[in-house]
Amino acid sequence: MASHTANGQIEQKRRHGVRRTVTVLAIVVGAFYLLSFAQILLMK
Amino acid sequence: MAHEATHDHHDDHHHHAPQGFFQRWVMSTNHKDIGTLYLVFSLLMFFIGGSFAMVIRAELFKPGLDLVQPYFFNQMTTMHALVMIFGAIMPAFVGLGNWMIPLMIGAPDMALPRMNNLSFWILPFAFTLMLSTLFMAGGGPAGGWTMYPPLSLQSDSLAYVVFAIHLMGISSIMGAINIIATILNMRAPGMDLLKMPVFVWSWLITAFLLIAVMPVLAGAVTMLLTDKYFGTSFFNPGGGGDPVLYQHVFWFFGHPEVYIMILPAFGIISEIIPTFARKPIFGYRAMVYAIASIAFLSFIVWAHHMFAVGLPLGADIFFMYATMLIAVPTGVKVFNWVATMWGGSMTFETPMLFAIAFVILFTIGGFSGLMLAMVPADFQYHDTYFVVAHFHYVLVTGAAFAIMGATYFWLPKWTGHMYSEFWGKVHFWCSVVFVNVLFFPQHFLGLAGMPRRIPDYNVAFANFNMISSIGGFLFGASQLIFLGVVVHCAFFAKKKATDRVWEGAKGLEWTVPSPAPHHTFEVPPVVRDEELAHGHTDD
Repeated sequence: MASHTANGQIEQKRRHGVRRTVTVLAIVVGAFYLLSFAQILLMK
Repeated sequence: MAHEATHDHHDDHHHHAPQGFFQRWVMSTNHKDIGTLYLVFSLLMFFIGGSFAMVIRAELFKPGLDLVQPYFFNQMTTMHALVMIFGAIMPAFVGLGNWMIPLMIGAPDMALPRMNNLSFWILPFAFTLMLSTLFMAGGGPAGGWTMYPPLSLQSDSLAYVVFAIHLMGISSIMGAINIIATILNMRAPGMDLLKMPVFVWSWLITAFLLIAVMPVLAGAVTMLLTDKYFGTSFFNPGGGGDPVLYQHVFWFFGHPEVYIMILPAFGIISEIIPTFARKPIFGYRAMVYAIASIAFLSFIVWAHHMFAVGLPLGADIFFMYATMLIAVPTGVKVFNWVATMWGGSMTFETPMLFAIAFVILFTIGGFSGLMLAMVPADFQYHDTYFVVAHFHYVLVTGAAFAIMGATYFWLPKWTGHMYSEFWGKVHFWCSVVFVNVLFFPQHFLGLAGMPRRIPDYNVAFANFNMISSIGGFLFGASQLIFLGVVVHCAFFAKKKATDRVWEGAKGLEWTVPSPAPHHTFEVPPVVRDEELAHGHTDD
């Protein structure tokens, strides 16, 4: 029982962590892409 | 200190792979299956890219041969590079990462399994698109993998190649996000960052490089596309543009890309050598910091590919010294690999042979890189076969040898059977001899002034080209032995592998049964410091 709770906590921590990491990385990648293409448009 | 987690064992035997070919391989979200898909795909691309290399070496066997048309020869040099870089080397590392990272950090799978499936399945479409241009009326891309304008703009297949590169970039970025999210969040309790295997560290750093530079490549090739089809003049001096701008943007991507192809190889070698030297890696933290330093420096050296365009003197000097600085962390790594072997109880199974060959031959490629870093010397070497020899020592005896070593190292864990050590060694010795026959004479050709990317040449270069071509054919044929060993091990081998496989193997991946069950570490494992490959890191 105790180990089930511990596993549940680990699982939840992982889920939150993954969501946070993916959000940050997706924003960074999106910003890089937008910056690249904004630059292309501005230079045009 | 041991970190107690929850269970001391993992009841992995209850879970089986899904039934049915389509369900198992096309719909898969399992990191091991997707890893296998990546590895099979990269092997296929390795042979396709290799067949292009055979055409190149056949044409260059003798001066005046004219086996293929010069324009087709140019398509072969371009496609060989694109297929080997984006189709063989990079997917192989992603496949190894997919298979091994969750096992090494005690995670049940990658953090984003569905995205993992999508990352892989984009690739066959991207490469079908790119390779299909060879059968089109105008032929494939022929302006070199760097796609410098205005030459690349003359190709009718530019739009196909640009779209294929966009797809590859998206696949790489999704893969990189997945790897970072997995490593940062899915580690078993007790697997601190500075306790992770060096291979995991190398992939974490590589993934950040991928995220930083793939959008830059996307921007560069999109500008090529708009210059050709939408009337822009980014790289057209007639409209106020500058072709050198493309070179800056491309190499801002291109140099980190070189490290994307070698850092995971460093990680692999750092796993193999301690196993067969039966010693923890020497200077674990230094190894990790060296990889991070190399990754950082990779962003500030791009213009060493462009000395010959006529940069300002200050830029020449900056990029020359920044490039030479890379030798410091790389030297640390080579020193530490040698120090790990020093006094070790070494045995020389096939993976170790590949690792030792890597250390020696990659260092040769590193030294010729240092020669190319020097501006005055580079004016002589630029665009000659010396450059071809240099980067093939880095990418073939470096990256490809590491991938082959890794395959032999982990194949028993993947298949549950031992490969044939005899044929593995035959493959190694044939490869190591013929790869040098293939590439070493190219140093002399380059120093004598033979330009790269030419379908014919002066008779003065005939002898070394013939030797190089013979080496090329034999090296290519040697890889059929590799294919045979892998296929035999996967489907026909009788000798069962133990869970630990190698006597000196340490790390979580060796605690699961061989073959690794479909699902592993659903219950987080116990991480004991003495079980880690690099030993105690607290001091």
